[in-house]
Order: sequence, then structure tokens, then C-alpha cells
Amino acid sequence: MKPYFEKMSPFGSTLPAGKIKSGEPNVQRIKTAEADVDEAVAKVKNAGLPEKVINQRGQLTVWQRIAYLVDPGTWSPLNTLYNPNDNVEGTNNVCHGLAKISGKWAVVIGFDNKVIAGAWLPGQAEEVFRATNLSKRLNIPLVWLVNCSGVKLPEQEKFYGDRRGSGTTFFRHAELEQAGIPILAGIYGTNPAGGGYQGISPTILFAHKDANIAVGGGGILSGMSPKGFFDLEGAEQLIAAAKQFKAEPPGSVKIHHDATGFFRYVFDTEQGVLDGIKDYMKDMPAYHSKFFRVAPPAEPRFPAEDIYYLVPFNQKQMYNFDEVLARLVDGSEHMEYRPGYGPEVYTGLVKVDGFLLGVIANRQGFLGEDYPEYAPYPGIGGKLYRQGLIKMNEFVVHCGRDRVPVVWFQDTSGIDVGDIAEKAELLGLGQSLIYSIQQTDVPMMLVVLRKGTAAAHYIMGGPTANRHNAFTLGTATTEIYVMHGETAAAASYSRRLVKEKESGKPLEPVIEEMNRLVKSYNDNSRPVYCAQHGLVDEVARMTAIRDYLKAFAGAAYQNPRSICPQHQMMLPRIIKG
Amino acid sequence: MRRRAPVKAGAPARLRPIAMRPPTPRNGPLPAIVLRSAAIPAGRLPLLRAALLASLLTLALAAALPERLRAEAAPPRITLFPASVETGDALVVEIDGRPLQRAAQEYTVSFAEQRLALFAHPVKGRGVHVGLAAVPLSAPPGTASLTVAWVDGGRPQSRRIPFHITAGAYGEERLRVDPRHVQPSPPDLERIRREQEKLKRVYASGSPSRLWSEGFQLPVPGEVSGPFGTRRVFNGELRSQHSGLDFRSQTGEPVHASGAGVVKLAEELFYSGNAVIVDHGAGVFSSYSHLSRIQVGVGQRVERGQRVGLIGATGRATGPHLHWGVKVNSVNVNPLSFIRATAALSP
Repeated sequence: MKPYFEKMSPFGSTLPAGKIKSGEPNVQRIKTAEADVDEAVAKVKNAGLPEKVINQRGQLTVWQRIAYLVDPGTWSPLNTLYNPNDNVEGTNNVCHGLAKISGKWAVVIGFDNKVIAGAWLPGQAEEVFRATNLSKRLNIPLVWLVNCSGVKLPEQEKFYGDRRGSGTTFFRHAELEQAGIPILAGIYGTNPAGGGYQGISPTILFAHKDANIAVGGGGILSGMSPKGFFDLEGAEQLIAAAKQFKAEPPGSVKIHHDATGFFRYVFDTEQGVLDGIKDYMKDMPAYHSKFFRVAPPAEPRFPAEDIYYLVPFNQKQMYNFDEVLARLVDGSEHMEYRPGYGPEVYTGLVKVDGFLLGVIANRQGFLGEDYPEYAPYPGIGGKLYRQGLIKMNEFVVHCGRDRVPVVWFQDTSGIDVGDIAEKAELLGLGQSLIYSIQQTDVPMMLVVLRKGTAAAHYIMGGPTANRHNAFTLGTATTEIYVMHGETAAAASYSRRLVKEKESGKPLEPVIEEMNRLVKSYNDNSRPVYCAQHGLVDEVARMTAIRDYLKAFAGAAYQNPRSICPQHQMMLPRIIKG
Repeated sequence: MRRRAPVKAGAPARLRPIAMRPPTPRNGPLPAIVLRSAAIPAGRLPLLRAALLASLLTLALAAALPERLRAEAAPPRITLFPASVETGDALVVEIDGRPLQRAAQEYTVSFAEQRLALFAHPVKGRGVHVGLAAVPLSAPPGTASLTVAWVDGGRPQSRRIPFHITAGAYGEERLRVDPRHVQPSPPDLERIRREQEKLKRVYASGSPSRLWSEGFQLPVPGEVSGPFGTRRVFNGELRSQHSGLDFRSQTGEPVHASGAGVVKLAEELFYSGNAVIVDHGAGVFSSYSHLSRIQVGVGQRVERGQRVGLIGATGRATGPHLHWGVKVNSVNVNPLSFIRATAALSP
């Protein structure tokens, strides 16, 4: 298949000098918005005790452990800002991401031992759920850095129970193991109760010499057999018991290495644990990249920095998506699928790090007086029409057949509406796209380049495609809402305006409420908000989007559950005609 | 003269929009004329005719007033940006006096201890004035207000503009350390005192005029490693709040002026190491600390993006980084909030 893949059609063009000059304010606005995200990330990373204090205790922080564990330049963090309950700690207390360890992709997740010794906090279970989902979707190992003091007791009611509560993790681990996905766990510190199950549920346990895992920790044992109330005598007994269990916590290495053998390996140093995991990762199931690569990896012909000039911060301004894509894919080459049909949507095959990916994206701008063909009004990019929906359906189905992972780029204001659009079957075609996605069973990722709006956010590979969407990336220009705030205000208040007007009442109070709603939509659709509430899994710099594409492609092709031989693929031949 | 046909009782009245005059506040300015369109029941027409006549009379009187007097009659329109404010934010106050075109000097804007320097809006042109205020980190959350004052026909006028302050979500760094390690030696304390005096003089010496024209930008491309406002608690005692943003970067990387202005300080300080302070005018200063090298001199005019020094780890720094600070009216603000707030002031 060399003729198809080694040299595809080049696309994109060098940024004109005028665009560079006039685009400078746009660059600054995006970079300032990225600095906002950075600042929020720094708050999460600095939560809890300072690194210096942890190091003085002879421990590494979770961030230091990750930095030591992963191959340089491969850490692609996810859900760093995820904290939907706005915990006072400033974090949900786990961090995870995609990374290579010893040359192989894995999902890496660890407890933040700087914050209440890695306790369970509200919002954490959902992030763990996402991490295990990612591992399952991509069929790659899950690597845990366990250091978990158990439930934050004063807030247990928020996450202990429930269908998706913290205990869900242990069933998810079993599910991954049943599916043949290994879970490696480095275990540090004291891990009682929930922490104990965090420790025992993975596949292979690598323990630090001071680590322990137990059904119940010293704290629980000290407090057994209460009288129903506390008095001085009881307090003295507690003090004595607590001292004893602090000196000898249950489930130490003496028990779980020497007696039960649960700890497969024990290491004297923190780094030793990580070295043990690195060594094991070499033997994890993975194809060599040459098995699936369609061409040698190549950088794009245009710098990623150009994206700051190409994507307007102002959501009302148009741009050329193809130029953006040319900054993200190998050699700035592609094979576009049905270029003359459904012009509001880009569909095509590209290479990222030498791997074949399908790309589906919204295009922007005026589509001409004659499009959409079924309506008397002109089409505008960002909106979806009949042809675009049909094209996406076809392309997704072909990608499924050829086992090509799909990357979606959203900048959409929704699907065409009104009776003309209904007659053109857009409602049915939207749901058809959902069905098409559901039956593919290939990994997908989404980049919300700017707007993710209305049902289009769902049907274009959004995170609601639970079994397919591996993760969703935001950028500094991302906005996610059911509709624009002004549209929502008009929809919510138009009847009331009429009523007030007819009864001769002043309109100003209603207008004030409308403006408040517009502002609330604006505040609650910013990138940091989206990341804190899980609407996106991370907000990436424009220059880092390609890193995530590489991580996705490498991980998706590392050990896929099914294969389509390159010479039996249909999509490249359909494109060629 | 044509006579108007009598209106039949019970028939729906179809009137043109009429000019209504709201009540004049005591000691207040003449009200703006408000145009309202309304369908009015026929039974109330005699009263309305009288009102209409009164309004027409008012209009005629207003038309007969000298230009200057009519100009004084309209209160300015005052807007705050951003609409929701956090502690540590910069705040843009816009006074739209069009079409009267009062000069900036005719207004006084004050917020807490701050008296704002006003300048012509760079985009909206004559008659629209802008000032910058700062909401201190220590400001209590809740309703606050700023005051805009002017003189109308020799009579002082003022308006209080209320706004809501929410507490910024700033982290906390708690450290237990040997007190000797956080207490500088007596000679160092003396040096710190001298430097603080000097800094006070520097920040008091700013140009009242705006010295920048284009918007502000980030001084380095690096990653933000130290958020603004983090509380530093040593041994249970709040010692400081992070007054700027830290950017992680490599020693020797260039640091650029975030906006145009004049260098007011370029020297080594005890805490800040090699530091540069730029006066941007209208109450705004930016500072660049811990530099390995200073590449500008006091009194030098710098443009936005011009190199002022190189990243370093001088002064009280644990590693190479840039501490970037912005002060508005001598109050520390989050530099990112400042950039956002002033973005709309760029042509």
C-alpha cells in the first residue's frame, strides 16, 4: 500500500507576512488564556504540603514519581483540573495521563501524597473511572502509584457509596484484568481500608519497604469497641492504641511480603519501586510500531506556532481549518474523503507519527448560495447540513471497517434547524451518526478546537460516546454549551418580554436578567470551567495538540483488539476512486 | 390650522411614541430625555394631552438652553469591566460622557484609597474616559463601590457605582520552619527597610499619563509555576500572599517588557534579586524579578516586547524563574486579570 500512504497529497500554505503582523493581538489573547489555564494547573500541583516537606520526610511527591517513571517527553496529562465539587483542598487528589514507560504506552495514575496523604476526596472516583476507561478503550496497561490514606472521613457521604462511588475502582480493576489488561501498582506509605483495596486490586504489586496495605488501618483498630460515647478513659485508651499502631501499622511488608506474598517485590528506595515497574513494562503486550505504521514518522511542514495566528480567539471570526490540520499531521499530507460533498465538514486520512488516523472536522465560513441544496438560505460553516451528516456517517463506517482510529475536531454551532431541515432528515441523520459511531469499535479522541454546541457536540464523537471517546481535549479557545448564551437568553425570555411589553411594564429588569444569563453562560463555558467539570479532559496549548495526537495514535495502535491488513483496507481505494 | 378629529371612547388609541420626563432628582442633574412607546387607553387621553403638552414645553425649553447648559444636563454613563470581580483583579472604569465631550480632568474617580488616573479611551475616542482600579487581595468579599464625581453648572455631582467582590480561590502553602530561617539578620533587615522606602518612592513617581498604546502581553512564553495570591503560612502565621506570577524557565532566556513605558528601577534587591520596574503611566507598573542579567537602565523608554533582562535565580529564589508583578495604583493585581481587563483598550 506504499503508493497510497508513503506520499499523500500535500496541503496547507505558509502564513503570509500580513497575517503574522495582524494576528499578533490574537496570539496574545490565546496565550493569556493559556496562562490562565497554567495558573489553575499550578494551583492543583501546588496543593497540599510543599515538595520540600515531602522530600524532607524521605518521600517523593506524586509528580516527582511520575517524572521519574515515564519516558521523557511522553507525559500527556489528563483531568489535571478535574474537581467538580470544588474541594477545599484544590484537587480531587489523583492525577493521571498517558505516557510511555520503557518505550510502551500506559495509563499512569497516582494519588497526590501531598494532600491528606493521598486520601479519597469528592470527584476522585470519576477521574479514576475515566482512567480505567481509557486503559480499556486503548487496551494498554494501567500503572498505579498507590499512596492512599483512605476516605476523608468528614466527607465520606459524598463518594463512599453510590453506583459510581470510590469502590467502583476495584470492580473496574477486575474488569480490566478479565479483559487481559495488566495493572501494575507501585505502593507507598500507609494504605488502610479503601487504600488497602487500592493496593490489593492491581495485578502485580511493587512495594516500598515502608508501605502497608490493610483491610482496616491503625485509626480504625484504635477506635474499636466504643462505649457509644467518649470520655477521658476512652481517650487515654485511644492514645495508647494509636501510638502502638503508628509504630506498627497493620499490613506491613512483614505481613504482605513475608507471610501472604501479596507484595510480589519490595524495594528499599522510592526510585527502586519505579525501576521495578519500568523493568516490568518492557514485557507488557505490545506490537512493535513498525507492525502498524504506514510510513516513517515526519514532522508537519509548517510550525505549530502558526495555529495561534490561524484560530481566531473571537468566536465570530472565520478561519481555514485545513490550514490548522496541516500544522498537526505528518508531512502536512492527507487523503481527503469526498472533498466536493458536504463542504461544511472535513473528512480524510492523515498520518501522525507514521500511524494512519481518520480526521473529521467542522469547516468554517460561507458555503455559497447553492448550499445546502435543500434550502433557500445559504449555508455557513460550523453548522451541519444533510450532505455533511451523510459524509460523516460514511466516513466513520469506513474507518470502522478498516480499523482506523478517528480524531474529531469540533467547532460547531449545531445542526441546521427548521421545517426545511426536518424535511431534509437532519434529526434522523444525526442519530444515524451516533449509530454509525457505536458500531465501529475503534478508539476515538476529540479536540474541541472552539465551540462544542448543541447536539452536534454529541454526535461528532463527543465524550458522550462513552465506549469510543478515549478522551476529549480542549484548547484556550474552547467553549462548550447547549447553545450560545445570547440564544439561550432570547429563548428563555422572549415570551416574558412580550408579556411585560403588553402590560406596559418596564423591560429593563428582564433585560438585566437576560444579560445575567448571557454572562453565566460565558463564565460556565470557559476552558478552565470545562476542565474543572470534566467537559474536557485537559486543556492543551495549541502547540501541544500534536503531542496528544501522537500519544493517542501510539497508544491506539500499541495492542489493538482487531486488525485490518493494510492491503485489505477500502478507504484509501474509495478516496482514490 | 387643522383640527384633530375627536377620539371615540372605547376605540383603541394609536399614538406615536411620546417624550416623557421622569421626575427630577433634588439637587441632581437635569434628567436625560427618555423615549417610550406605549399603547394608552382612550379614557386617559385628556390627562395625557396635558402631559404631552408639558413634555413638549420641556423639550422647547431644553432646545432654547445654551449649548453649554444642555451639555451639563446629561450624566455620564459609567461601566465597569469585568462585570464580576475577584480580590486581586484589575478593574477598568469607563466613563462615557458622549456627546458632551467633557475633558477627563472634569471627573474624579475614587475607589477606597485609590484615585484613578483617567485617560481618553484608545478605541472609543473623544468623550469616553478610562481609569484603572485595583481590588486588593485583602478586600472583603461583598458589595463595594467606587465614586465618580463631576461638576455641573458649578454644582458638584457624584454617583456611587456598586459592584460585587468575590473572594479569589487562592491556594495556601503551609510550612513549619525554624523561625531563625525566616528572620533575616539585622543588617539584612536594615537593607530591606531601605529598599522598601525606595520602592515606595518609585511607585509614587509614576507618570499620570498613559505611556502604552498597544495592549499588554506575557513577558515570557514559559509555564506558570507559581499562581498569584497563594497564601504563605509559616508556623501557622500568614506571612505573605504571592504578589505576582512565577514562570518556570531556563536561566538566560529573555524577559520582555509586557507593555511600553519607562524604566524606573534596574538594580539588585534583597528579595527580588536583579529587578526591573517599568512605569506604564496612569497608575500602572510592572516588575520583573530574579533576573540573571538586567539589560535596561533607569530612565530608558522601553516598548512592548523589548528585552529587559534574562531569566535567573537571584534574590530569594529556589530555582530559575521569572516573578512578574503588576501594580495598579500601588496595589498588586493578578497580571493575567490585568491583561484581560485592558485587552479592550487596544486599538
